[in-house]
This record gives sequence, structure tokens and C-alpha cells, in this order.
Amino acid sequence: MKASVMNQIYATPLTYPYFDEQALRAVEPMDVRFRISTLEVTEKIAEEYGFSLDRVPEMLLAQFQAGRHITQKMKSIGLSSVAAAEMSGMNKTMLSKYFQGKRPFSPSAAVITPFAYNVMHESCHKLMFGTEGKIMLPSIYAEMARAMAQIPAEEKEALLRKAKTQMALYEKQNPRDIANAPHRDLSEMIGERIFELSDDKGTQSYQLFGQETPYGVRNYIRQFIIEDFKRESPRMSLLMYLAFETGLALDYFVAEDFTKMVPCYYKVGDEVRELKDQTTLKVIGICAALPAEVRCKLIGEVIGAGLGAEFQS
Amino acid sequence: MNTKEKETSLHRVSKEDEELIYNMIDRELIVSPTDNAQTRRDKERRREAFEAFKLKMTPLLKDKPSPKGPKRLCYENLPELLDITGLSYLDLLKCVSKNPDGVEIKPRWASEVEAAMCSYCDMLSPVRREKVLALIRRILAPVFENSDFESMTPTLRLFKANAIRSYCIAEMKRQTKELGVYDIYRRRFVPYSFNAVELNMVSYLSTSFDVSPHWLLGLDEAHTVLATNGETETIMDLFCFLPEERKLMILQAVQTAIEKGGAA
Repeated sequence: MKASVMNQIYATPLTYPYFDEQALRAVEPMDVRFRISTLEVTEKIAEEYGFSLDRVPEMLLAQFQAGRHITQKMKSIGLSSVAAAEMSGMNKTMLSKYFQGKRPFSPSAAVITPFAYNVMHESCHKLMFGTEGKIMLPSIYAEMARAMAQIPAEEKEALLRKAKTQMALYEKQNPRDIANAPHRDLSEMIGERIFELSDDKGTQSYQLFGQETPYGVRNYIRQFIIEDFKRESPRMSLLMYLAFETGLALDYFVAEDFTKMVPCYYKVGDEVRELKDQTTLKVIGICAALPAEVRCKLIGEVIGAGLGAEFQS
Repeated sequence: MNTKEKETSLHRVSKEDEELIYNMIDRELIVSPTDNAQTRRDKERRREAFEAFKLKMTPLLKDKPSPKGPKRLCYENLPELLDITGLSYLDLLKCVSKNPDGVEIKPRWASEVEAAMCSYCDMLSPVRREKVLALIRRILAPVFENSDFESMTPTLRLFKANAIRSYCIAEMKRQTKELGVYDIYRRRFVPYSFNAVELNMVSYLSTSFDVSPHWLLGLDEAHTVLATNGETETIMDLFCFLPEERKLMILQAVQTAIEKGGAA
């Protein structure tokens, strides 16, 4: 990293959100947006679009800002890095380095959720972007929300009990030491979430954003699939870019239960509704956390309950 | 003639199959002395319609029908032929299938999930089938309901749809080679004289590539292939496009709904 870029980062005050999202969204085309938000500006882009070669990539800036935010918050809470590391499963040495504020906060996807939820008590999106995110539910979860709205409260509770039983069974087989840490392989889960989005769009997963999908994203997802999700989970800047570009909160990609800290929305026709019903949110959260084979049956039962109610009406 | 029309009109049933089909129809429409009056009238009417169909298919040469006989049968002509003769797609398939052992020819759905979904949908009342169709439409990506598919030939339609679902073209080529249908895949790019597909191959392709044979043949609700009624065929056309995981979810949902609300 160039010294001039580092100096710029150190000189930038901590603001919320960490960078100007609107301005970044206005940048066209998408591959330039990807380049300037996650990588350094190339000479070609600098010439063509007038960006400075010393421009700080937004995702990097956000990671530095997140480091500062964490330092401030930890000081105000009075929590040591050792205690935070124990609560989140993070490496103690690494965490103390982040706390010094001279390093971008880019933890692995596996530990960001327990850190954000258990230590910071905020969403992963808030932690990494400095702003509240939201999730527009993929069609299958949106369908669950529609179904749950059509069935009586007792039936909803029965479905929640069933989901909890499934989760308890699964937790028994795959125990975890730290709350909110993923039970299953995170790479597999991230792959599933990307597939959910591409299935909704009817595109190949590596063309998540259509033909314009930036080369870096396309290549990474393709490799991810070819290697059958055995690869370690994507780096934080790529996940942040995916969250930014899809307009979904980062939690959707990294948290097993993404409904815990982020408001969820779903579409009924053209109308967008916020999902406020706690029972529904819990059922969706549990379904999202379960592995595919168990999840399919459970989601089918929830949607079937709604369809059954439609049949009777 | 634009490219799309050209492609459609050139997509033909193989010559061998065509002969077998025409011969079978001729046999079926022969009036026998044992036929009652109603059947006889029906057969005569169908025979007239069939002759008119063949005449329509015969190109004119100096204002007279060509002595070479009718043009080759295209897949787009199949619905009309089925309407005229009162036969089903299965009848045609049985006719062209080489079946020396006398084993019944019966195409099947690509997977058990699809077969189960089809039987559940056949059980439902039309109103409930509409609700299931609406549910699938909400979950399925809109790209699969593209009206462009209608003007495509079966193989082109198949490979366009598969291109959406396969994660890369190279993977699709590998898949077609493994299934032994690479030749069919390649035929999209070669001159029209090779562009004929055996009727048997349609069933094979639909099973191999996990699409509905009804959709692959470009049939409407009036003509069924594997389901009992046309609405179920429409549901299955879309259902087959869903990813495996979503298929299981929808199947479970329909099963639960039937348990809860009954089928009729």
C-alpha cells in the first residue's frame, strides 16, 4: 500500500457511514465500481474516469474505520481484547492489533458474526459499514413470510416449536463453544446464499449481476463452485462488495441466522413489507441456519401450511 | 423469413420416425366392418382432416401439389397432427419406439420428485392447481417464462434453458458428451439437412436435462404428455426448472397442503 494512501486513511476522521455509499453507487460501469471499491485504481481507470491513483478503496477505508469504531466502543465499554477474543473466538494477538487502530479490521467470515453479535451487540453490516443494513428476503424466505401471515397463531407456534426441535437436534450433533458462531462449514453456507440469489434471478451464480458482473467477483465465485466450496471463505472485502452491490446486509452472507440483528423485508405483489412478526423471523432464522436436507423439509412444511390455508379459503 | 422462423420450420422429426407415424395414422384411420356408426363417422372425419393436413404440407409445383409428397414433418406441426388424429404423444412415441420384446414403452419423469409432484397436481382441483402454479411462479426466476422459448426449436430451447442453469458453457458441453447427446448439441450450428431429431430422443433429452417433455415439445395445455391434464403439464413445465432444493420444498409444501386442506 502506498504511503500517500495510508496517510489519507489516517487523516480521514471517523464518520458514519464509513464512506459515501450514494457516491459509490453512482459510479458506472460496475467493473470500475468494483475496482475502485476493493482494489487500487489503475492508470487506465484514472485516465478514463478521472479518479486519482492515490484514491483509497472504499472497502479498505471502511475496514480501517471499523477498526477505529471498535477501539472507541471497546474503550467506552471497558472490555479488554482478551475478553473480547474469548467471547468471539478471535485470535487475541490479532484482535489487540486491530485495537491499535493501525490495521484494517478484516476478520475471517467465521468469526465476524460472534464478534459483532456477542461483543459489539450490533449487526455485522453496522460493524463493517457504519450504517444499518436491511435484507430483502430471497423468494423462498419471502414465500415463508407470506405463508406465516396466512395461518393462525397456534399453528405458527407449532411450526416454531418444530423448527426449534430440529435446531436443537442439529446443535446436539454439531456443538459449538461460542454463541452465534457457525455450526457448519461457512464456505458452503456462503455458496448457498449466493445460489439463493442467483436462483431468484435465474442467472448462473458467477453472473450474479448479469453480464456486467466484475471479473474479480465472477472469477472468485466460479473458483468457489469448481472447488466445490472446499476453498476457504471469501475475503472480507469481496463479501463487503457483494453486500454493497446486492443491497443486502453483510449479515445475509456471513451469519447463519441473518434475521437476528437486521430488519427483513419481503414483497407481496409490488408492495414491500417489513417483516415484524417475531415468530416468523425466528422460524426463517432457524431455517436459514439449518443444513439443506433438513431445511428443505421444514421450509416446505411452512409454505405448505400457508398453501393449505389458501386451499381452505 | 427471419432467422427464428427459419429455425423453427427447419426443425424436423427424423425421416424414419415420420414414415412410421404416417403409416400408423393410416392404419388407425382404416374403417373396419366391426366399427359402429359413430366410430365410422369419426374415422372418416379424421381421415379427411388428415388428408387435408398432408395436402397443406405438400408444396406446390406449378400450382399443383408436388409429386414428391408432403414436406417433412416438423415439431411445430405435431400439436395439429395430434388434434386431427385424436392420438396422444405417447401413441406416437410407442409407434416409433423399437420394442421387439413387447415391453410397454413408457417415458418417465426425470426424477422421483417430479413424478410425485405430477401425481399430486393431478389429484388437485383446478382452483387449487391454479394456486400451486401461482406459488411456483413466485419462486421461479422470471427468465424461464420467456416467451422467446415458444419460437425456438426443441433443441435450441433446451440448450438455451440449460445454459441458464449450467454454471458454464464448458460444463454443459462436458455434460452433453457424458450423456452421449453432444451430437444433438452440435446440430444447432450445422446446416439444416442434419437438423432432424428422433422422437425417442426428445424423451431422452427431457430426462437427461431435467426439463418437462411437454415444454420441450412446445405443446399447449390441450395436449398432455405425462400428466393426466393440461394444467398439471403447465405446472410441471415450470416446476422442472426449479433447482433441486426448491423442488423438494415445493413438493413438501403441496404434500402438506393436501394433508391439511384436502385435494379437491
